[in-house]
Amino acid sequence: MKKKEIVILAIVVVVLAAVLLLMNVIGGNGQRKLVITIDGQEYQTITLTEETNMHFTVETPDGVNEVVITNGVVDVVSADCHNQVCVDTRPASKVFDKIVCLPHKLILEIVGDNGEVDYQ
Amino acid sequence: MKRNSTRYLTFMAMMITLALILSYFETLIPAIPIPGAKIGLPNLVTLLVLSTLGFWDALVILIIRTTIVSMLFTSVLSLAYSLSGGILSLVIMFLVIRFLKDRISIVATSVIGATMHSVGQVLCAMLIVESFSLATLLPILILISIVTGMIVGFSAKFTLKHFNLMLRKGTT
Ligand SMILES: [Zn+2]
Repeated sequence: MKKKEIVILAIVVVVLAAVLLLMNVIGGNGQRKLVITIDGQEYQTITLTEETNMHFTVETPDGVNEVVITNGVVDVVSADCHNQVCVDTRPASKVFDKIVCLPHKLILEIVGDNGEVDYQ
Repeated sequence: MKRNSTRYLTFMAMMITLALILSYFETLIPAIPIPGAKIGLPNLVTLLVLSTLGFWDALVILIIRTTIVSMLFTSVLSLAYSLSGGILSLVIMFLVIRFLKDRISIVATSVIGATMHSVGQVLCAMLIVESFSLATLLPILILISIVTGMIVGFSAKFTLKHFNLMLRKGTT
């Protein structure tokens, strides 16, 4: 690798790390809710607190995903999709965290409740 | 190497086999717990073929490899998903090599390719789930790509030395 490349790469890494840190800071405080989207359509929204404990199954047209919420931390524990990426994805708890099941066109994402992370 | 020579066919078959082995090997390594993050070991083959033979040869290997992998290990939907990342990555690496040639190292080319692979996959995933919210995955995915791109790039660098020897021997 050339010197110039290392410098550019270092800058890119620092910028990305700063963005991630910023996302972490923004996502760290305030109300959180879990938004479940299937094929671009909002399916369900659940407000999350430290005391949210749930166990339910999301039924999509392409298959099912079993979701467990423990103390406000969301995790997909099982799914009948072929790649199991959603099951392998680490649990989501902070704003911007998300669990995606592409085969089922399903997104589980944590969103801030004050409207600062609003899409669509 | 002539495209209709036995040498060429053998070489391409070897490269496809190598790519398949690397794809399989990658499924054995525990996944990085981020949707879409992979080490991208098969990109090593794309990079090697791209820098020794050319764009079309690398494209042929990419398409055959992703088709076989999706038939063996995954499904048709993931074919679109991996092809979108693979082709974007290949095109950008080709342009980088074409226009910067000696001014860019193979490691940097690999890092750019790995990054583009992630970007392509996220774009395709956005189309599949019809949501822009996946864009927030990009910073972490690109950061991971830089690391994996360097791993693949350094592997390519060391392999190329021997590769060039092999290709030059008895050119017919
Ligand atoms: Zn899944």
